Amino acid sequence: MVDNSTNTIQQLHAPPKPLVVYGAIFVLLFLPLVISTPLATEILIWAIFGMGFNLLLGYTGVLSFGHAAYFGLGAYSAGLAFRYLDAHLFVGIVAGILAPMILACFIGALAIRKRGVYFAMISLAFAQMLYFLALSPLKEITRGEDGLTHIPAMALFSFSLGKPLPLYYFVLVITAIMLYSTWRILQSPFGKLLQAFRENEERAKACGYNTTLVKFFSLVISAFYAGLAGALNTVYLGYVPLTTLFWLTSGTMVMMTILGGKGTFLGPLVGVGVFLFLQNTISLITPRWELFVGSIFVAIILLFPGGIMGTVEEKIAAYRMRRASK
Amino acid sequence: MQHVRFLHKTGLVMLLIGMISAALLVAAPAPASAQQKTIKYGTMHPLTGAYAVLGQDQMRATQMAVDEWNAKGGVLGHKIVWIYRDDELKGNVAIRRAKELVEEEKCDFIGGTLSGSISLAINEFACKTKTPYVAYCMSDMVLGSDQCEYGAAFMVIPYSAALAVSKYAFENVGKKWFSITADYRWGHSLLEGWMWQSEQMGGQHLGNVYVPLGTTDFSTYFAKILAAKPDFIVMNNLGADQTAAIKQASELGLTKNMKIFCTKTAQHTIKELGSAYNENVIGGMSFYWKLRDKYPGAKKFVDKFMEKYGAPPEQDGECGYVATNLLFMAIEKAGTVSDKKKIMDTMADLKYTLTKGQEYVRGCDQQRIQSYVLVKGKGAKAKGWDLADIVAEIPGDSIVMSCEDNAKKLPFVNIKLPK
Amino acid sequence: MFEIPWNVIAMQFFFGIALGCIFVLLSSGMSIIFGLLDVVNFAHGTFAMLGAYAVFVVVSLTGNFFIGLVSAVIIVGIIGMFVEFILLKPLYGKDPLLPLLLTFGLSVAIPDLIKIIFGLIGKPVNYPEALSGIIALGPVIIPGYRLFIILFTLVAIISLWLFLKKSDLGMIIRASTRDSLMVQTLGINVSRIWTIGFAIGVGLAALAGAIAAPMMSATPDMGVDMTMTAFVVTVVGGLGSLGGAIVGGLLIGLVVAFTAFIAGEYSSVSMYFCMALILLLRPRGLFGEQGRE
Repeated sequence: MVDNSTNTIQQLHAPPKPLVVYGAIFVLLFLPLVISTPLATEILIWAIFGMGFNLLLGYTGVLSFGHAAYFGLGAYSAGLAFRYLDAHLFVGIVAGILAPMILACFIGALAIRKRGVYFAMISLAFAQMLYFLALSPLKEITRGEDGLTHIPAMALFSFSLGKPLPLYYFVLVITAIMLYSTWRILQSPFGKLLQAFRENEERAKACGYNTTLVKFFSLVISAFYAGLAGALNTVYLGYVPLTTLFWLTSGTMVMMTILGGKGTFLGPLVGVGVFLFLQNTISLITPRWELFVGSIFVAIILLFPGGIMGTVEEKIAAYRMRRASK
Repeated sequence: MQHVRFLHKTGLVMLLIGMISAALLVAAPAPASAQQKTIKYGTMHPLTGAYAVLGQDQMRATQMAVDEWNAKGGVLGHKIVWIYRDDELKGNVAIRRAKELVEEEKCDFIGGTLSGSISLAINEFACKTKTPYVAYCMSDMVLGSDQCEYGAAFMVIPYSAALAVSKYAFENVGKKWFSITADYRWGHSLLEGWMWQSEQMGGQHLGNVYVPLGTTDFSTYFAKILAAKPDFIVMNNLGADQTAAIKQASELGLTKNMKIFCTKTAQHTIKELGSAYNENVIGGMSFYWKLRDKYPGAKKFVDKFMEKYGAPPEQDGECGYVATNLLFMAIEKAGTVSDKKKIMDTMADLKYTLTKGQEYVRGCDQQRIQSYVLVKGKGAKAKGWDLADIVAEIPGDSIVMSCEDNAKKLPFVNIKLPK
Repeated sequence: MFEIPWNVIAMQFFFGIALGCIFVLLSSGMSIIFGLLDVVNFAHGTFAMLGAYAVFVVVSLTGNFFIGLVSAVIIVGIIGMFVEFILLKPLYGKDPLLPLLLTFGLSVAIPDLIKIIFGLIGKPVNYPEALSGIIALGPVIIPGYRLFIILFTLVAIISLWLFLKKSDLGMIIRASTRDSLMVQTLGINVSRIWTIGFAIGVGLAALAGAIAAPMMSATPDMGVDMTMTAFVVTVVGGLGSLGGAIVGGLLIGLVVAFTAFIAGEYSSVSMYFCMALILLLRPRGLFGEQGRE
């Protein structure tokens, strides 16, 4: 079931070996030894967000410039459940996943048929609407600019998640599950279909596939990831900042995914890690870190449009090709 | 398929080994802080984002205070190790920074932050982790349920600012007022303060408009205000919002024949506004550099700051300077660097004279009781940093509510805000 | 409370139009760039910010606001040429998302450059002396500067329209918007046309920033909101349509003004509501070409 076909797509974007999945998780186990635990936790959370985003942008070829809507809605749904309903950890997370999925169904039903740029803009419009609604008109519930505070510390079966390392490994377990699921999705017929669309939508359509439906499902699955990441973000912060809904959150996500390499399996993880690490490190040296991060981003687009992992994969493929021809 | 299964197995074995080592990592006791004779103070400032000017001043003033103490030999023989981080004016980043400072860097004390909302979140974090936190911001964190013994607030709180400015306005200018309020908690707090004072002093509130944060066109609101014909306009906003609002008020000629009160303003806002901030615009600040003519402490602080950084400190810088000093004074007086509860208790009754007259930290809610300064602009006559003149200094005790009222947010909680 | 005086409504209408005029300048630039290059310029507001700083520099050197306006367009237009030539050109023909992402990167980096050069504190730009008064038409009070904005935008847009319709270069630009391959085959260097088109587009953005500068001072971070507004207006009017940018800009200006009047706290969200509504009812925007959605 795994390595059966030899079509062009598979050659271009070879499916990750299982070793890659396990290896990535293995490396992540020791991440807190290298960088600060809160940063490592944040990298995992954003990586989950990124995996879902990559599924949509990288594998399906649909750009949503309003993914903050799903991330923020997940964060707020979980936060509201924790704060007002005293919900259990998992109930809150499920709430944080369901609400964005419903929103994705709504936005998808309305707009997924539109051409790329229009879909990106419509997503953006909805995300900004949510942001401004949470800021002013709905501030009685969302606490507006203050963000949602007074979220109780979470516990997993009487095991407190207030301490940094247990929280990290809790998030890591979920990240591992999501990493594995993403891998399975990409191996599945559905995953193959996604990639077929991205490569040539017209041909896939001509083959009798309902491209709209597949894009729709891709969007909803992506919202699942974003909502999960949002909910975990709430557990991690103990607080929901309004900025989770702001369009710069979407923008940052796009930057991270491109940096890592869209349409590559490890791209989002690497992109998120490198971005947050760079930002964290450069901001220790100069407050003008945005200049460096922005310039690095521009340079990557010009020099390595495939991103970090895209370039790495290309090099590996070229190497294999050379070896095979020898 | 054989191959794949093999890879699965290898992967799982690797994972297992990894998990065991990770479990050991969690179980291992944290390395004892073996460092002798140092205390660690970590601060967060918005060095990027809309208030980077203020964040920079906070950071600089903190550095000045730490350097001064270290030059004197530190606190109780302990050298002060100070580190700072950029909180980017974003809640999630600020919390990450706070976690890093406390959990990774093992800071004994944390401080800083500018945004009220972020400070509330950090305050909550400080309460959970029992880390003393000296807030430089203008938030309501000393009120009601937000309060805990580990947080202390060093900027004038919103209500007090509103009470100070409104008192001056109703006494000196007129009774009929119209307000422009930034639509978030901080703005609402200011408005509540104004409305309460208005009831007390027989003011007449003609109306209010709520304006979302980040609004750049205020002219559309002024039509409504002109029709109401107030004696003066109140601005409950800050930064770029205030800049745009006053610029456009001046465009309509309002700064020529009407007074405008900014409940809180800032030196850089006046600078940014240039000639539009004229003598009819009166703004409140907790510190303005011209206080150096009045207080020797202010002179020492301002001159040193000017010499070092080439510009006078903002109120936020002064606040950071005082907060940092107070933290170390409390440690010195408490005679301990490790008993954090005792340090906070000591701070809570400290009387001191630093940059203004004599001030104190009020015991019940750990807020700095300080005066509030009103300045009027100099318009086109402004030169360099000579941007405004002080018109009044309202004493601190007259603009705070009693401890009991503060804990219940009285009397402001009874104010009905307009729709 | 229910009796709203007509003069306030009239003023509101006027302010809405004046606000809309700035939006028109902003989004017509974005529309030209999109129509010609198929690039969604995420740094559009950033170029507007550069325009505001350019006007500050020139005004403090020459003391004349109008020279400032013109030189802002020229300075930023030249910067735009370089950006297009060095950074965007290599990306044509590749993934259509790359130019969008590149300009996004610029919008992150350039404001920091401005902070390093001009400092963190924004720079005031005064209203030009001749226009700073107010005009009272009975109970309706109109600031002279807003009237200037409306008239100036009118002149700018009409000249732009004449340029595109009547001049040779304008005709080539319009032809390239339709079918650049055909223009290329006719022996015209389309690559150069693209550079010029991009320069005109960001020049218009700079004009919007420069004309807005007296109303809000020039600050490094002012571009972010302007980019968003330009998006909304362009999408409402129809991507790539100049007429759409004009109608969309005025419409959004009026919507914001009247929402501010009726329910202030909704004024920011109203723009996005309007955009979502129009996109759902008429996906290609008011004047968008059919088939491009």
